[in-house]
Amino acid sequence: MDWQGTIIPALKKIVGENNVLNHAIDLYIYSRDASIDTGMPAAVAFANTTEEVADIVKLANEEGFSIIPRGAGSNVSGGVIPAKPDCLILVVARMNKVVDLDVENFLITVEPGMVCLDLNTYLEPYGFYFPPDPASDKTATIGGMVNNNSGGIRALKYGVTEEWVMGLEIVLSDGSVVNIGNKAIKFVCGYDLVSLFVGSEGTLGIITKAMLKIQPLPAVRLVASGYFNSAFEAGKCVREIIKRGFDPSGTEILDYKTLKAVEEYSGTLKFPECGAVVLVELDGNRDDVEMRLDKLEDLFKEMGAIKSETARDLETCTQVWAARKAAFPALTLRRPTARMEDVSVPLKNLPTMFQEIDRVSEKNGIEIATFGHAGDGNLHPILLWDERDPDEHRRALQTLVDLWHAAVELEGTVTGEHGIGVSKLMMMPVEHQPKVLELKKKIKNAFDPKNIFCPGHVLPIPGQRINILEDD
Amino acid sequence: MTQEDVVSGTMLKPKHKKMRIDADAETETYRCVRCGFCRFACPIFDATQMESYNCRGRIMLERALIEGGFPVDDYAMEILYTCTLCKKCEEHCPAKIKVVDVMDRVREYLADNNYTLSEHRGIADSILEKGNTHGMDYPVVFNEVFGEIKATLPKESSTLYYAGCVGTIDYPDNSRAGVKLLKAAGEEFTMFDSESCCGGFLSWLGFKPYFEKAAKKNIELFKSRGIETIITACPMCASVFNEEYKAISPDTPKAYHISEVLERLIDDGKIKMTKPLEGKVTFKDPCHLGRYALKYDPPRKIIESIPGIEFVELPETKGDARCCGGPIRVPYTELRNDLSDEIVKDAAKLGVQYILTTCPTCHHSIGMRAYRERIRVLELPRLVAYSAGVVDSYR
Repeated sequence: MDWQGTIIPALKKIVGENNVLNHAIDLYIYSRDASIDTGMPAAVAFANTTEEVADIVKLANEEGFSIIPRGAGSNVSGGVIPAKPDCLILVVARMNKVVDLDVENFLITVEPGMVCLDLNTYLEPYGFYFPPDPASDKTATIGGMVNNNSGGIRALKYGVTEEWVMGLEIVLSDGSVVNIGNKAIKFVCGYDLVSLFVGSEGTLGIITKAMLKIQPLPAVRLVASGYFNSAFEAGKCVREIIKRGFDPSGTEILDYKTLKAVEEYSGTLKFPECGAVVLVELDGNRDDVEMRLDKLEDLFKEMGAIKSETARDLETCTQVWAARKAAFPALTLRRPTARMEDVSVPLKNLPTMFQEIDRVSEKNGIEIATFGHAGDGNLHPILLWDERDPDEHRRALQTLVDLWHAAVELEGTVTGEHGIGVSKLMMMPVEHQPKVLELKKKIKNAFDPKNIFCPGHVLPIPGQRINILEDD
Repeated sequence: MTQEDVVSGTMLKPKHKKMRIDADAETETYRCVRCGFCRFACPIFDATQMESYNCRGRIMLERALIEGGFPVDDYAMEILYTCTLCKKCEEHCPAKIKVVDVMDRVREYLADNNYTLSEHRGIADSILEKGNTHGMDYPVVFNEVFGEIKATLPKESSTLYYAGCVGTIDYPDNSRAGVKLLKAAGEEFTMFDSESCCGGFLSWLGFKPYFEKAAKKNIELFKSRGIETIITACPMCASVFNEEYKAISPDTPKAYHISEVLERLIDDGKIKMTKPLEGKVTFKDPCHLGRYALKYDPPRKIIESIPGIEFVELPETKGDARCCGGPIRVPYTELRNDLSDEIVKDAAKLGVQYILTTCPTCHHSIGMRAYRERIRVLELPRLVAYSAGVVDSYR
């Protein structure tokens, strides 16, 4: 493939001389995201319009190269990492404008590079917000969130991104541009292609616009904390909170190791000695939330909490959530390498998942601290090691694999909200029957027969190393 | 570069000389989880929209140099030397990576191994040979600016007013106004016959042995003259004295930025401002007074005391304040202009007539661009001196 002589000059013609990179340093820097995977692209291009994206896809058809769309590169599943040579990283982060705000229909249409936090900042004066709230909302783009079907703390009540996408503008693999979805709330006019594209990780087409539902901001959001002797007990309490109809907008668990790390990180926070804490957010009008909060304190006692607290003003609530948001960064201070996992299990098996995490940690001698969205069974075990130590690195990878298998054994999944990318391909045949994998391949083939978009993501390509335990 | 260059995991095959920095700094580069939160903060990323010029990209490059994956070529140098050391990324980094400390070690390695830019060597020569960043005959300039007022100050005092070379050379009227103001308020202090640059740029560019030489010369002078306290109008000098000199010699006199002293004098009623400044103003926090020294309140309290003034905050302020780009002006002037332009744009949206600052470097950088929006940049000490009737004009 002639990158220097043909492809790069053609790309420059489409997006402009300064919007194509191919210096070795640039390629290296765009070879990684927030995962622990790496893959070198052949070039990087920055698109500013749907037309530029379409022209690049047409060029890819002519020249035979592959395309990986990239937003902020904050994903943790290797979702923007080339799995083969001759890949172009197509950065759409500069396409970050609001296209249309349709308040009467509770809709907003944005370009894919719009950052989640910027979207909510834009919506706030209108009294609205976009509920999916990944912890990376400061940097995560809407394009990335749609492609990964991102969740977050409030997914328990408001669902994941999928439930908030009404329509998409897509550049298909032949370079044509289509619009899918509808403004109508009820829409069953044939196959639901929007749902198919949400969570497709960029493998079916490139999203160039997204029409999203927006939600009125609640009057208040208050928080209660219950401290338990073990993560197992905390997990049982979470199930009870949901069963008894508290309707929390978020239910998080932080284990002992995470709490200790957050204490050290903050320098000011101090938690009671315990095995885990359950943080519960309730939203709605104040009287209703206050009443549920009172009852929640009673439930904590009934479930054997060592201590419980409620935060009834914005400042205290913000402090409680700051502790939750500090969980991952606090843990990164402990060792040079930190990997966040996102196993998800049915609620009944959540307490057992905590025990399994301890088991695989002990078996492999790799430290794991765990927190996560316990209310929907989605946990974030954080593996901590030093990738410069080959033996410890190998044990860390074995721990990952053990963890994934434990989640599947408990009728769950290796990924609740981060996606497969190139990081978890080896688990696709474990989680899916062969026939189901065949169907997925047919879907991919129907949309992208030349495998232009993200080859080796979600579904492997011939010769791809998918077993992370095999040597390079 | 291809995937073949990756040896195991994400480590690169060592093909070039490995960069050696101390173990703590090296580990910091591995601790970066590449979450990209610095996209929200880095002013150079904001201007270029390229990851290679983002804090995350720089840390990746530093790591790659440690592993010997790349040679130190011109492009690597540009990426590493376009960081303004503004510390805004550190405000946003969830992993609390000590970005500026790492860059400090990296640049030390580069300079020690003769990876330097000719423009930076020029600055270093100026500081070492002429005692100022501009290559001027500094004793002559210093005497022209301060000769008259110096004659009215005590020869000896335990408090030194250290003017700083950038302000003295670029904005002599402002520098003089600060001295007159302190004197009028009854402060007792002395000034040297001439000054020698604090050497901050030597340190920031990686020329550590030269910096140490410049610092020791000043430290000795402070000791021999019995200096216990320093007042300076330059927040960069204050930061260098309080942080970098202290690391060399713990008994370095404590340095105060002039805005801290003015705040006290206004509180004590020793400065009374009566002449109004009619107009809408905003304030640009200098990185070295703000994120480096955490002095956010003194300038604001002073501004609120000035009669007639209408003060509005910039959208990004205090710990989140934008960097003017001044530290990279040589040789990256266009990039510096891009950074200052963003501050000017924000100020123009607020409809202000003046941007106030307390740093000569910010003044210079923003002032070079603000005129296009018919906005003037003013230094706070001179404005106070005007309002207190010590000088006749504030610009």
